[in-house]
Amino acid sequence: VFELGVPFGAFVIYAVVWVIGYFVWASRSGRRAEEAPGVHDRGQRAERDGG
Amino acid sequence: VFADNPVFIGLVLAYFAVLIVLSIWSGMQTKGLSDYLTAGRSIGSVVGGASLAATQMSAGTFVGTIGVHYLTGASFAWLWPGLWLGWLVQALFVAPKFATFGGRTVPEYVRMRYNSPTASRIAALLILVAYTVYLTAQYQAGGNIFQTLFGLPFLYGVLITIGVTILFVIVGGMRATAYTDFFDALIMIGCFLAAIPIVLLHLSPEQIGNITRSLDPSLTGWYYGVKDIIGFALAFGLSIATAPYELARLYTMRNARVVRMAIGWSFVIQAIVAISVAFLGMSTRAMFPYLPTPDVASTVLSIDALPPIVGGLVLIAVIGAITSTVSGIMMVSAAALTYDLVGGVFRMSDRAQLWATRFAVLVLGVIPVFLALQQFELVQFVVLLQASLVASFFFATVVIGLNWKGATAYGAIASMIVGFGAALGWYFAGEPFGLDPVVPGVATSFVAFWLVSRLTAVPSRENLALFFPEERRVMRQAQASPET
Repeated sequence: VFELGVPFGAFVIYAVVWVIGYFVWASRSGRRAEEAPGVHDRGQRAERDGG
Repeated sequence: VFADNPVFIGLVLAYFAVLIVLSIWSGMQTKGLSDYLTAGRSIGSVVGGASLAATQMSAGTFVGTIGVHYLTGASFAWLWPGLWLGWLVQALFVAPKFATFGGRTVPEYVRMRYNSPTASRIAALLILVAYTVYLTAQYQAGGNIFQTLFGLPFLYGVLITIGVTILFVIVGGMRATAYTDFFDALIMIGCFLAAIPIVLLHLSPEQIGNITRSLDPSLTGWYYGVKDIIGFALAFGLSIATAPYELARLYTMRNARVVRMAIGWSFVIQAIVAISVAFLGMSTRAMFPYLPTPDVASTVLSIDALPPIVGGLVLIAVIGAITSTVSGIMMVSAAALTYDLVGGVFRMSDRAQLWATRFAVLVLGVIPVFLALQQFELVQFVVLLQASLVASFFFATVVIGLNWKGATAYGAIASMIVGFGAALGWYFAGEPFGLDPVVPGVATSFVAFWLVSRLTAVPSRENLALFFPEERRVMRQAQASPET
């Protein structure tokens, strides 16, 4: 990828690392978030949504 | 050139047919206003991520950005990390609470967080004006593309673009918008994955590098330096982090975890598109070094270097980028009008509001056609500045409001007005230091927010409890032991 120059090659590597790093963080923090209770309970949300 | 090509005409017709089928299917799933505005909060992470990415990418990403890479080389790709930092701010400080809040519109968040119908109406009005006018730019892009490809009059191109988009938004609402975005994202990725190997059959990466380097050594080097890249990062990152047409997507997803994963999938799509447009821009420069203007690079590549079916897919991806942006903006501005402005004054049933919103999509979709044809100077001004003005208006209101309990309604109103005014003033001052107006806009809105909030009363615990878990716990404890 560096045949197209350093900016291109470095960007490809940055993009791959960013995406992988983000998914690692998101999956870890997602597990923690699932344990936290939601803002509205189902009844409140259904009432406001008219359903 | 494509006017007589049956493959391309067939691809365009098939594309529009898929949009119509998706909209009819979505319309059949839509049971009421909430379904219409939030897709029944049923969107998963992959479709949601595609929706976030496709809404962000407009005709400019394909036509303009390939053109910039053609002209300046690869270093322009470094604007994307700035954009991704904006998405990261959204993922960290905005998305989880927004998704959990479960509202319907962005102004509704303002109303519920600050207990202020006034602040909510100001927000709705800005969205309505800025986005309705901004649509003219997308219509102009659609008109130009159909004019270039089929030799159709400009107005016909505009009418085809908005006709199909208005139809699927009216029928299918946010669900149709999300699934057509997903379809558009598949086309975007598919066309690049098909186009790049074909380009590599013509030229190896080494040849592309050598040819472009011989034309101008800066094409394979740092044409844009650190200062430029930081400028891009601030402008794009601040603009996207709280863009209302993206925030509205967060309401469509099932929960905070789905939203976080969706932002990850949007990164995957954006990364593929970013790498592809940089590669194709430089490849086109190597193959056709002396084009009259860089804006024709994507069209020349599609027509002269790729087989009709792949070239056609690239150009359909451009049309898809326009329809996905237009549909997202139509949904947000129509909801701002009927749900937040009219609905705040007149009591309407759920069914009446649903049909009023559909009617608003039609009206707000048609107004920009006249604006585009009249060529008002004000329209060009709003089109140019809308991202900076909207970000200067919303960034502090959303990010501070979701993360600082001391934020007050008067603080929010002050930050909106000061941020908007500062961005406007910075623009008219000729953008000193080459700094985008969004930077002073957001900076001053933060200061105004903090100062005014320190002097005014915070909203009630009921309002704070919608966004702060610790406030919810206090309320529950108080309810459990009323005698204390």
